[in-house]
Amino acid sequence: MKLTFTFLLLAGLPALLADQVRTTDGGLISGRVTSLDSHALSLETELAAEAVQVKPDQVQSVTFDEDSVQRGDHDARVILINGDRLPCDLKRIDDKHVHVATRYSEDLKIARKSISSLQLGIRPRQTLYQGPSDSEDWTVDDAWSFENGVLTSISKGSAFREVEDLPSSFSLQFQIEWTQIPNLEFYFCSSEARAGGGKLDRYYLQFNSAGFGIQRQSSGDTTYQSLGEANLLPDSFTDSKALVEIRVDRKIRRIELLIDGEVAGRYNDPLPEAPGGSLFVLSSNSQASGVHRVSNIVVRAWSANRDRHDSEDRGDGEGDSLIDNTGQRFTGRLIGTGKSDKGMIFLFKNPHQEDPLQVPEDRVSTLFFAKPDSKSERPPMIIGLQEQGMLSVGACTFAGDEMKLTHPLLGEFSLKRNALTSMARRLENPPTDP
Amino acid sequence: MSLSRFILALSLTSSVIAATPPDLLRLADGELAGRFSGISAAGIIRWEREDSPAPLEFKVDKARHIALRGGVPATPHASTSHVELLDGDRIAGTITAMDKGELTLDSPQTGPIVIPRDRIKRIAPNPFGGRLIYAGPFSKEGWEIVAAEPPQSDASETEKKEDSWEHIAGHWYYKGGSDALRYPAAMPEQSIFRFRMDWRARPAVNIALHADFAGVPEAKENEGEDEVRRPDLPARMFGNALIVSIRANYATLQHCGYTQEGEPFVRHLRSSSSSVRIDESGGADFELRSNLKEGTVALFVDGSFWLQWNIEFTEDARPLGSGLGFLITNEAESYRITDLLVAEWNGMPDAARSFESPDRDIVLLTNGTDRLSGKVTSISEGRVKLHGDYADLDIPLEDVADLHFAESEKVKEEESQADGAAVRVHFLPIGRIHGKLIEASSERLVLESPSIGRIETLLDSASLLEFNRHGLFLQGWDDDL
Repeated sequence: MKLTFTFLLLAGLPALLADQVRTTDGGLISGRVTSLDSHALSLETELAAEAVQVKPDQVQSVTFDEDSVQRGDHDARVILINGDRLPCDLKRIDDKHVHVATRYSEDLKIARKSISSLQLGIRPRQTLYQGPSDSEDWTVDDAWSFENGVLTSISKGSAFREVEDLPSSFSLQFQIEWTQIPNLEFYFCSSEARAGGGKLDRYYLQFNSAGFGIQRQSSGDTTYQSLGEANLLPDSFTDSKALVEIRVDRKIRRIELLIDGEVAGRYNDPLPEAPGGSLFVLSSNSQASGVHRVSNIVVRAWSANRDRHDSEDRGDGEGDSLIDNTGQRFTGRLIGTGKSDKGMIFLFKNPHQEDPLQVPEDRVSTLFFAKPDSKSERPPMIIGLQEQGMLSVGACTFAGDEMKLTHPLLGEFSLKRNALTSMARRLENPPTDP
Repeated sequence: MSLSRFILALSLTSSVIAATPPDLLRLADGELAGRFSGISAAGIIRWEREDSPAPLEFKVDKARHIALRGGVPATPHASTSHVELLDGDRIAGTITAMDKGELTLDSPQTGPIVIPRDRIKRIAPNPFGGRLIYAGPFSKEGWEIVAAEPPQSDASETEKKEDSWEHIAGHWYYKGGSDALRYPAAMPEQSIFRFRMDWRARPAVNIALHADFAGVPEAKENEGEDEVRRPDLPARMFGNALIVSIRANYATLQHCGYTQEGEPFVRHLRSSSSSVRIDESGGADFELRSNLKEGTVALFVDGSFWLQWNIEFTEDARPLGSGLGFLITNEAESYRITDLLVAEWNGMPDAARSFESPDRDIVLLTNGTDRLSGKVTSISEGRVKLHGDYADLDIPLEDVADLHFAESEKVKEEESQADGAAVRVHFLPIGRIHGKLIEASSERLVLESPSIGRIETLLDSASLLEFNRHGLFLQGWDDDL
């Protein structure tokens, strides 16, 4: 059967109890997807004695059971020449292949000619603070209390803590749970250990009935400016909890907001100087019986450069390019990786030096590989993976907790089912960035 | 005797010696064509005219500027290689050597010259990575001032309005009104457009890029005049163009023009943000980098990246052009535009300032992508030696577009207040040197540079001499306007 094409990539759907297949006529079938090929999508459902077969051209999208999706924490991302993205951890590189490990599949050996770019250091690195660890860790008022690693608010009030030597770029991550309607502010880069208004320079996350937003408070003419919002309302979270990460780059005055591991927004601070403070202030504004529980607060050093580097112009693609975490960029030939007493190193032959450069792994941000001569096919289906991964597949089958698939560049391999977030069909003339 | 009496007495006409355009002397109360023949140590300008038997003399502290040969150099030099100093001066020339203390430059503007390294902001052996297409505005030639509405046919000479723009001493001054300023700049598809703009209150300017200056298409035969949609002002002024609108706290990009059927349109182009913050009263250096193939326009202000827009061209839009222009929308305010530059762009995605580190020199290569940092230890025999993080690199100077020295290596800038008259010499295509005026002949001008000391500048590639009676060269407004 010839597949006709319609494209929709889902994001941010409400939590589901099973896989959900949405059909082109607006129908919705819940069940467990067992296979997909050019003939049919098979779905086991309690509504039928046998698996339901849906014609592929009638399938608009599939969303996998969100509760079973395993959030990963890979430190690298491979972008293939067809645009597919693989979250992974780098093992090594030789003259022909890039070897990676993943938590959702077996180790993969990927031909360099199949790779467009490799990003490293995705996961924020050095931990500067982790807590709350005890009742003295944060300075709290009567509204907040500490127990078992959790800061809990039962009324209006605030708690604060300083992270000394807070670098220019850092990541703040925490788990938030709430009852009723949340009304929380989390101030960062603050010089004052208090919540509330006034001519102060700092940022704050606002989470209330309208969702999440990042605000800029200023000592200048305009005291408050909204830098941006993420349209994720509190009742879209089934368990009234969310993992929030705020990545701050004060050098270029940009803030990235991630909710449950997914980028919810990127915001620029229009003021010429970023706030320089190192205080964090939690503020509950709940007047009624609403409770906030904040735990797993982690502050890490983070380099924003890596995200910028991946979106750079590749250049003419004649050679490889290596961009380090300070922004230096070299064009030449990546010989491969090696080992030094300090860990993995990248050996990069550059025309301005006789011997290859030896770049430590923790200094590498992005690698662009030389463009291959051949083009890659783009199969009709796209599978969404955790951590913004994406794979193109023509056909796949499910066996137990695994999906077996054949990929045009990676060959045959399996994915753990709990790594899948969604599946959709590709447009006939898809945008260059699927 | 005042200038006006000379004009009446001598029946002033513009005088031309041979085929070279005349020099133009602007004084506090007027201007005079002729030939510059020097400045004495006592500060007297000698000015030759065919209708005067002896050179005329004027006090230099009464002069505003001298445009040499209509703003056209006698011996233009093609190279754009130059050194930029901390005090803003730029000296063109070939870098022959550098060590940790000083740089040696072979300059057509000064001859061989030695510059202390700690006075240098950057060196640019191959700036832009491509051709310099326009630098100015040293003369009005090629520029157009276009009225928003055509003049009334029955308007008398005395009723015709004054132009909104006036060209003086390498600057365009806006004095009010709705006229646009346009120039057919031949901007390539991948280009850099830089300029300096100063304003007195709340900037509100539209900048046209890649404009074709197409007129309003004729209405179709089957449409009555009432049915034809009148194009917005930017499209009427600039035709098919990209329009960057800059205000105090935001900047936007629009694509305006006409469809293949002649219908006017305006499309707002998206950006991740539109927020900027520009001083309400002051000035800034603007840079617009456009890549029509990739569909991007990026805005830099004072060397820092501010915004990038993505352009989605629709098939029904007519193609863009290669001109540029300015249109002011708050007509009550004053503006000044200078230091315009249009060049091919090599695609370098980020200004060096975004990459700047206080302790590291930064080298940007001409391939448009490579950026290196470390310590430049020397330049000799056409090669740059860089002590980098991972190795010592040896880079051909011809592969270097720009080299920015570490902030920590630069001397702290002090206000240079000259005693007595200061002069700034402008060169084409690139270069300007300022200092306390010592003396000059028709071929050379000697000044005391606050950064380098005594310099003898060669005037055959100069286009403009600018004088400042207060002795301090700032971005001051010409209050005589």
